[in-house]
Amino acid sequence: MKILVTVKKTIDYNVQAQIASDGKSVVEDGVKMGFNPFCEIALEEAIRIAEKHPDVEITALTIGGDTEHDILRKSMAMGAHRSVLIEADNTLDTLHKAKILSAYIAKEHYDIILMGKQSIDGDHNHIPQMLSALLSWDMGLFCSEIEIKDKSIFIKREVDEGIISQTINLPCILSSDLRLNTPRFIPLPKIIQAKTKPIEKISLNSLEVDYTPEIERTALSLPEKRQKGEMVEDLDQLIEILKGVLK
Amino acid sequence: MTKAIMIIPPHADSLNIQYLTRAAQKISDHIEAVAIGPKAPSSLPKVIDKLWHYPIDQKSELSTEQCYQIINTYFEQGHLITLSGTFSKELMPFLAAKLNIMPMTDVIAINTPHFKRAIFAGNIIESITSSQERYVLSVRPSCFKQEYELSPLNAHILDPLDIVSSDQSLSKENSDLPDLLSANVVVSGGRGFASEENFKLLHQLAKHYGAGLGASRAAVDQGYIANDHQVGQTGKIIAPNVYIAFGISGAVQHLAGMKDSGTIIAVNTDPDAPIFEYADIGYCGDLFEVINRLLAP
Ligand SMILES: Cc1cc2nc3c(=O)[nH]c(=O)nc-3n(C[C@H](O)[C@H](O)[C@H](O)COP(=O)(O)OP(=O)(O)OC[C@H]3O[C@@H](n4cnc5c(N)ncnc54)[C@H](O)[C@@H]3O)c2cc1C
Ligand SMILES: Nc1ncnc2c1ncn2[C@@H]1O[C@H](COP(=O)(O)O)[C@@H](O)[C@H]1O
Repeated sequence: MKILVTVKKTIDYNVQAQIASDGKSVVEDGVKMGFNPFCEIALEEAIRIAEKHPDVEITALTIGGDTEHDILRKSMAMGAHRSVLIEADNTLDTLHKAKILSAYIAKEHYDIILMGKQSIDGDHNHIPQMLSALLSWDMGLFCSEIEIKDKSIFIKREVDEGIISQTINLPCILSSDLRLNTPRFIPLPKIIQAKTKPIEKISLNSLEVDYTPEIERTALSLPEKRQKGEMVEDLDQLIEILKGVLK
Repeated sequence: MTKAIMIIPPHADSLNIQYLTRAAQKISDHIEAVAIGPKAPSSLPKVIDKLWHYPIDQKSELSTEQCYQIINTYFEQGHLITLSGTFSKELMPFLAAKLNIMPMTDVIAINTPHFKRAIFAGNIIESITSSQERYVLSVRPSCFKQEYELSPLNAHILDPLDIVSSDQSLSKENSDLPDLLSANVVVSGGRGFASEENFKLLHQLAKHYGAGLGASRAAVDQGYIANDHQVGQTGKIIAPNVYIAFGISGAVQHLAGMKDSGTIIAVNTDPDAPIFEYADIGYCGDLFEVINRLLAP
């Protein structure tokens, strides 16, 4: 069985992003970057599946440039068997990226596409759903549990109303939620070993994706900051306030 | 003018439907609504021209593919607009990809063809301009607050399509609390509760005062409370009139889900907790002491 895990490199979730001087992009130079947390969880899940089912081969894929080599090496250090770089701008819009992935997947053979549910930079939460639409494959979004059966997969998904349990068929697209697992720590020797592993490169042209962007980012700005309020020292006073608003 | 088709999510309440109407008015003067689910609303804001209903039986859930087929069969034209939430997160990108349209989701401001969205967990606002003829949109209701006079509206029933319902089963504890997405006042708890047992106090508090019950990711991860109570970047994004945070530190991912609330009140033992930077009223002290006083007869 072949599993494709899409990984995206993003600014570390602990870092507060800053708007660059062009007013349209964020500063990345000198900023700590890493796995989009949801992608790291997706990769961890694939590795756990491979540990249970030895015939599984994991490919990590990212859409990006030379600066994305490190995230693929990290993916291999963590446990991906192969890695693929589709050479294109990491900031393309989501429909464009979904078409790129769909064109690539149509040429290869994969049984499961495991993705993060959302990128924490753009906060879109689009691409897995789009890919399902483009490939006409089943999808299981926001997974907090994944169990591979023979020809099907049992999943639990986190939605606004609670948890949905469902069985879906292969081939399929799965997107990870935070509670799916806790990713493993990658020991340094593995990172060093992965430095020499090959990265397969695919040019955007070879995929022949037909797309014209129709949405343009015109500016980035900061949200209005809330004024810091006051601290109440006295418990009785707090209780009075709380009872007033709660009643 | 292209009309706006307002997709009413199965679990949306009246107030949020009114806010959605406000957003729909910002993209068109002609608004039609479609409800897919067991029931259609019996009254809607007067500005809505027509209501369509695709009935499904109470127990079955439609898959995204099926919702797409319904929309695509009956609504070949018009902007498509709905509320943020997991229903629209599943449907809108799927639908948009089928229609070859780039969707704009979680929109917080509209001045066509210009839109705004929050990115980086709400730390940055992105302004975008669309040259698309047809919009596929989801909007954050709290950013379009307006109440309307409602009037009764008869639903036009859509003929059933030949689609089978999927075998999804939803598990949810029956709730005795108001819906988190529309509650006026929300009490919310974090890791500070230290146990599932202690977290029940917050449930009692919510029940006692008829408030919505929220939680941080840490509280959900620890198993204090079910996932559908999580507030934040990856949970629900809410803006009640009053949000009271007990034992929540105020990580950016949590703030992303509640910082547009009317009044924020925070109780935390740590005077340096980041939540105090956002709170209108802060109290540095033990949450149990506070809750026990509020529950005392
Ligand atoms: C990609 C990503 C997405 C995320 N999405 C979300 C999300 O949607 N929602 C979310 O909430 N988090 C989210 N998080 C997690 C977030 O970063 C924080 O880890 C989480 O919000 C912390 O929860 P907390 O405030 O309950 O716990 P902590 O940070 O541990 O804070 C507990 C607080 O309780 C206080 N306390 C302890 N005892 C008491 C007492 N007796 N009385 C009063 N105060 C007390 C402590 O001083 C402390 O400030 C996400 C993280 C990532 C990486
Ligand atoms: N540049 C990229 N390369 C590979 N995968 C990506 C890229 N951008 C997004 N993805 C995948 O799509 C998921 C959803 O992203 P998004 O729709 O942008 O929120 C992410 O969690 C990734 O798994």
